[in-house]
Amino acid sequence: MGDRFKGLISVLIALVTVVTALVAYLQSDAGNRDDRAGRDANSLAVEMLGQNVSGNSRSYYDYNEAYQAWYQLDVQASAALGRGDNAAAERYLAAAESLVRLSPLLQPPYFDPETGELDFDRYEVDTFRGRVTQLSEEYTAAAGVKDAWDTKANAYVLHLTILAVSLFLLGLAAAIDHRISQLIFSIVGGALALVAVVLAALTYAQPVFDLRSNPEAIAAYTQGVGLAYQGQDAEAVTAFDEAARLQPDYAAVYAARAGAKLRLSDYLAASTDFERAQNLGLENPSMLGDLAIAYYYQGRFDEAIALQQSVVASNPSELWVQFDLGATQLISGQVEAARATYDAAMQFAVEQVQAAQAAGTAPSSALWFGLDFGVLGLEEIRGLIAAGEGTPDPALIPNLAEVDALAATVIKQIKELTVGLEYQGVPPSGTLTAQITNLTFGEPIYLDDGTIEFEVGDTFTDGPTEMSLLFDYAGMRDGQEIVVKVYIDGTEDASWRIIREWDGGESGESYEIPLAISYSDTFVLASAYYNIEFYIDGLLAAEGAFWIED
Amino acid sequence: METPEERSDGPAMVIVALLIAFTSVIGAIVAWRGSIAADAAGDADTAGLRATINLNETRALSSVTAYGDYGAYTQYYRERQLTQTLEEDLAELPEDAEDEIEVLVEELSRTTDNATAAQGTFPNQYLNRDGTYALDRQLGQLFADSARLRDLDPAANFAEADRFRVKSEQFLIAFSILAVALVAFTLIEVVGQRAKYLLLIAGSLLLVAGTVGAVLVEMGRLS
Repeated sequence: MGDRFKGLISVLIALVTVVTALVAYLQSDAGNRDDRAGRDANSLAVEMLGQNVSGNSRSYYDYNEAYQAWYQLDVQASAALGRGDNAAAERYLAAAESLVRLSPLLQPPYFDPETGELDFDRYEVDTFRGRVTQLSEEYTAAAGVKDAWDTKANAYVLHLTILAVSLFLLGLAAAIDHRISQLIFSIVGGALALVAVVLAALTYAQPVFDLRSNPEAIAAYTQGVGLAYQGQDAEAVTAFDEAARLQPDYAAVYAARAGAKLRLSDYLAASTDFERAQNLGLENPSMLGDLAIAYYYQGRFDEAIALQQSVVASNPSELWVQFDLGATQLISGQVEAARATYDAAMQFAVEQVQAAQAAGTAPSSALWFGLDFGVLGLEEIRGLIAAGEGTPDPALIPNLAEVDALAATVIKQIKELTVGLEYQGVPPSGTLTAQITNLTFGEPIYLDDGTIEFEVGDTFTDGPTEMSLLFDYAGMRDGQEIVVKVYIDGTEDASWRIIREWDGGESGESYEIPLAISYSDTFVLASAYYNIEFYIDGLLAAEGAFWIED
Repeated sequence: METPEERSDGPAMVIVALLIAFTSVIGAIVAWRGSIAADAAGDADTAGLRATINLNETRALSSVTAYGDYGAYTQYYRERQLTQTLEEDLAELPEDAEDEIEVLVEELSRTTDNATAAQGTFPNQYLNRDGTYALDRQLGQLFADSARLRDLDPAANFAEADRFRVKSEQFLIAFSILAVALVAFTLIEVVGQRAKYLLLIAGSLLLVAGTVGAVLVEMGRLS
């Protein structure tokens, strides 16, 4: 009986040994696949970096050297024509034409020398951005495969450990003579071996998907990203549709398609796609913030607030989401909560700038973007209230007057905070004592006697070449910091920004600050809506606007 | 004290003991070779990654250098083209158009100076006879120069790593077969008389299979 029992134990040991050898092989295989995928991921990351650098250096040449050279000659030709010097114009045009062959950017389909129209985005996508996107997807796929095989390899190590314990117990059962102990050790050892075998089988059965095995889906996604980069969101959606058809669980496709749909104002479809991407495991603050925006425009304020609060809690550095949260609270009538959110967001911006200053660095551009974004959100709410229609439906706003008043107050605070932080590194303090009145705009007219008159108005036609800001002032002090910001069709053009120390004395009338100087006889102010903001020591002192019509 | 059965199995048990010892030694050698192959695979992967970095660094630096030079050439080319058109216009002017000649000569002087200045800022050896710039030649030359000094072929290294990895797995299979043979030899002591011979034959066959397999893997006959 004892010999038969020991024989049985020995057979069991033999079986467990065979299973152990098999699991060891599987572990080794999983480890090898893990290494290979990790190597691929590293290799793709390096290649992506290299393609990005070389692609950027090339497109930098194409735009900043070749195109700029062509553009300068074209402007010189226009100027010469303006002066009536046709021969010079022809010279410049001939030189410009000869430059065309230096770069593919200056050739079809990217450039039309007749109109000067340039499609630089398409050129970038075709020359390197498409390839970089493809490499990025392959890298993500390889990294995912590496993780999966790493998990499997580690699981097999656990199974091997269990099998080793099982072998130890079975060996112990074979070595001792105490019957009950033998039974306990052999039962536990056998059970452990069985558990290890079942777990190993389950691990083996787990599939490892490699997106790289579906290059058509990656190609369709890459095409979609390229089209979206060029602003062709409708076409991008079609490409993303194809990618989703080829690979229904491709999370990045849904996130990218949602982004395109959001820009196309298809908010319900956008939120559906964002949710699908989220369900497939893709989560980042930017995507969740955009999902909240999609909820916001559908009037699903409670869902938007819950999501924004969750993003802000886990990613407090996403200032734009903080401001979005404030806007959603405000539009849903939670005025006090909105006030608190905006205060916290502005305080956070101050802390970010101070932290950067303490570290001897500069804050991220995302901070300034976040502040601008905060203003835009509030201006949109005010626009909705003023118009009485739009998206989201203004009827959803419970207390219009209160919401509008807080929006106006916070807009001013954010704008002043931005200027204060940007130029002084601290929020503006104190109250404004200076007065800027009669702020108007005038096109200078140079008279023969050397004096200048201004054609004052708020609407100008025939493409003025110069524009000045005119105003009366009182309570000013020499040495105060003046900042003038110019927004063209709602977006600030920083090249117009004026920063100077005031030296005009305490008071005066019709003081002139040139906004746009006639750089050459080819420069004209483009047809647009121009509004300006006038800051004194970081405090908004005056605003005004003018139109240039065709 | 020896029993009569132990005495009768004495020579067979010696053979089994020798087989166990032999299998253990072969198993250890196979495990060692497998480990060496796995290590070589890791080394080849590292070399491949280094080559990938070299390759992309070379591409990036070549691109930055060549397009920087090409930018300088573009300035030169622009001024040279203007110079040529100015010279043509100047040649067509009548001698008595003194004012116009003066303007053109002044501009010609400026464009010539600019072209001369720009010409010194890019390597002239890439200028073709027709005045065009051999950008592809410069890029190719920069790449070739780097390839002389550094490994720029990651694919070869990665292929070698994969070969070693397969070899390592094959050694592991051989080792597993030897492990099973070892179990068979070990079980001989605890089974009945008839099973003993079956286990001896099975163990011996597995030993031969594992050993021959390992030798073939070592010789590269299985890859």
